[in-house]
Amino acid sequence: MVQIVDISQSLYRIWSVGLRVIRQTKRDRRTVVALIINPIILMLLIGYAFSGTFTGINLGIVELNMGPVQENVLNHLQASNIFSITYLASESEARKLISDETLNGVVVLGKDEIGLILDGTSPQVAGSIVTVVEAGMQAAAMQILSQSPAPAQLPTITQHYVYGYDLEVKDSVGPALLGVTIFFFTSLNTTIGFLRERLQGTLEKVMVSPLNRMELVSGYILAYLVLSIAQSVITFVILVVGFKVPIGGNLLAVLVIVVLLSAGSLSFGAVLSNFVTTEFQVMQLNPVVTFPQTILSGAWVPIQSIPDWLRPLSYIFPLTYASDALKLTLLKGASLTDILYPDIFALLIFFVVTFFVATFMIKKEIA
Amino acid sequence: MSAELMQEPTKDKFAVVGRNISKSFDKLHVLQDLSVHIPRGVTYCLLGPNGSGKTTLMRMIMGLVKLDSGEIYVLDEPLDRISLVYPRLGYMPQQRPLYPDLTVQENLEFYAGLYGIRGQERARKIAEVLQIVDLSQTQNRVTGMLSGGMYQRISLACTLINNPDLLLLDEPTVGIDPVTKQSFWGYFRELAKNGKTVIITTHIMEEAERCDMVGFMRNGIMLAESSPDELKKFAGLKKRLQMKVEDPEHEMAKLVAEGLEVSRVGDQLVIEVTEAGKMRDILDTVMPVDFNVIEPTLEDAFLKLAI
Repeated sequence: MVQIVDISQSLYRIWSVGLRVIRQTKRDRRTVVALIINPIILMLLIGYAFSGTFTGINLGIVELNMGPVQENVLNHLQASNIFSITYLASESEARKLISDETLNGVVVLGKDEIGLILDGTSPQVAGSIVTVVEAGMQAAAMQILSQSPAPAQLPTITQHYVYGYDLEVKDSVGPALLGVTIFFFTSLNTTIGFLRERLQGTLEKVMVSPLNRMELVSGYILAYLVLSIAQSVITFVILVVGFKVPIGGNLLAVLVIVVLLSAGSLSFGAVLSNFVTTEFQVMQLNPVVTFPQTILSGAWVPIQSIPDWLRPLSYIFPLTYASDALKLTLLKGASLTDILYPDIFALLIFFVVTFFVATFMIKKEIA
Repeated sequence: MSAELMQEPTKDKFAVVGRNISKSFDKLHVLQDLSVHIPRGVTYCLLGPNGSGKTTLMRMIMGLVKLDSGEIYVLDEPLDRISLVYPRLGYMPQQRPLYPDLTVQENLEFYAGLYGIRGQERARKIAEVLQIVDLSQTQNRVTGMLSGGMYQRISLACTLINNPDLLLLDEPTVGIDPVTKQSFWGYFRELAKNGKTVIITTHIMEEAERCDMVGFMRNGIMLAESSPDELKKFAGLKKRLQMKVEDPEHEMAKLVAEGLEVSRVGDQLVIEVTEAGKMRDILDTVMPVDFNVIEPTLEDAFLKLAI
């Protein structure tokens, strides 16, 4: 079948669907309030409530001057099973590897000073490094005190954050929660949106019009892009004004992430709508689908604290990449090229796959 | 049966032609070797009890349900090219086709947008369809708050927004008041007069009687397609003369002696009449106290054909 598609007509139809969805959302005051309140509540709750234990923290060690105390600290670090240790030659190399995200932190064992160079964007990970080093110091101090003659002065512990500031948990969780909020809000609303269209006669009526399935899903995407961007702006304001999180971000990169994530979440929600027949079922199904990836995405707790056997799941979920990309851009000022692979790439695949499954499934359920 | 009533269809004369359509869902035969011929510029009623396959057939005509076998042409296009005729179709589904949280104006704007109607043309078109359904003052009301009759009228307005050549209305008059119903039939006839084809499903016989053409359906079979009058004739139905008489036994004997078939209910005598002249003869013979001519209804025809 040869059909000449008039692009401007097609865009106008997409625009019509998008405008309609926005108008519907605007009229639903509760949804509008949820859009604003959700990120705040989530950030407060999760930011303050979460801490955990970790494994697989990538730790670098620079041995500058090894005395008995330094040996003791090193033994402690080696004995702890939460680190995978890399031995480095210099402090400058250490800093570089933290910037590259190869390492989560470095311990520099010097004569008078044990320096901790930590990744400021993962405060929980940094915290657990500090804990182990302090434990090592304490053990060493006990040993030294029991010896005579009187030992030399104990070295001091100093902490340096590579990003120049000491972030609290809520600060680093904030950007990742933006991803969670967009995913949750968008997928839930579109599942219900498409379900309603099916229960009403509207979907059937729309199908018997020049609007094709791809344009229908695109129209929804257009509307939810506007809503998601609005939500992002709100979250930024909360983060910067309310929580005083230092945002060092590249806004273009953030926009790309938000756009891809919300488009993917929307298509994902549209796919889900095919498996439900009532709004009650949506509420039951949604947590099953969204909770695992919310928890395992590294947004709430760092991926390092997730058990090894669960970690492969983290790498399947799109939210993992969105959280990572949002942290990198907002806190470390990463540019679009820095997060292209794997984050943007993964989000793009997520969007393309769900978009085509969503359009295909609309067709299937009608015919 | 339909072949006896209709001449062999030619494409341009018909808005919809379907031949030998069959469909089953889970081994249940919904439509069985059904054929349908819907001429252009008429009101055509798909009539049948619930579950007879009317809605399935209507959805098939729009390409929303796949055929197991058979073929359908809609405005000269086969079903695999159905999307080409979508700009010329107007569909009013049985379930609610409006967005309840939008205003009347916003619903109309949305549907207009799907057909690429914009700007001044859109404003003109919206005013026009609202005028057709006599609801020019409701633009800013939220659709979910409208009464049943108003809702249906706005649904119809949305269906008319693209000036469709073929309208498919699934039970459009369900749940609306008699006055609105009356005006709906006025719109339908007006549309047909302007060359539009209007397909309506219903299970209400009196409604079907108002259509130019009726397709009688039962258990997925098309029993007959024709005008209501011809259908009654086809079913062999005649007018009946009902007379109240003083001495029913005596009068009955007189009529039977003349070779007429008479039935008696209390003091009433009932006779089937074929010709008008015959009726006068009977009245002269019997001289009833009171009498009544009963016209056959579509319901009678349906019952007769369905058995």
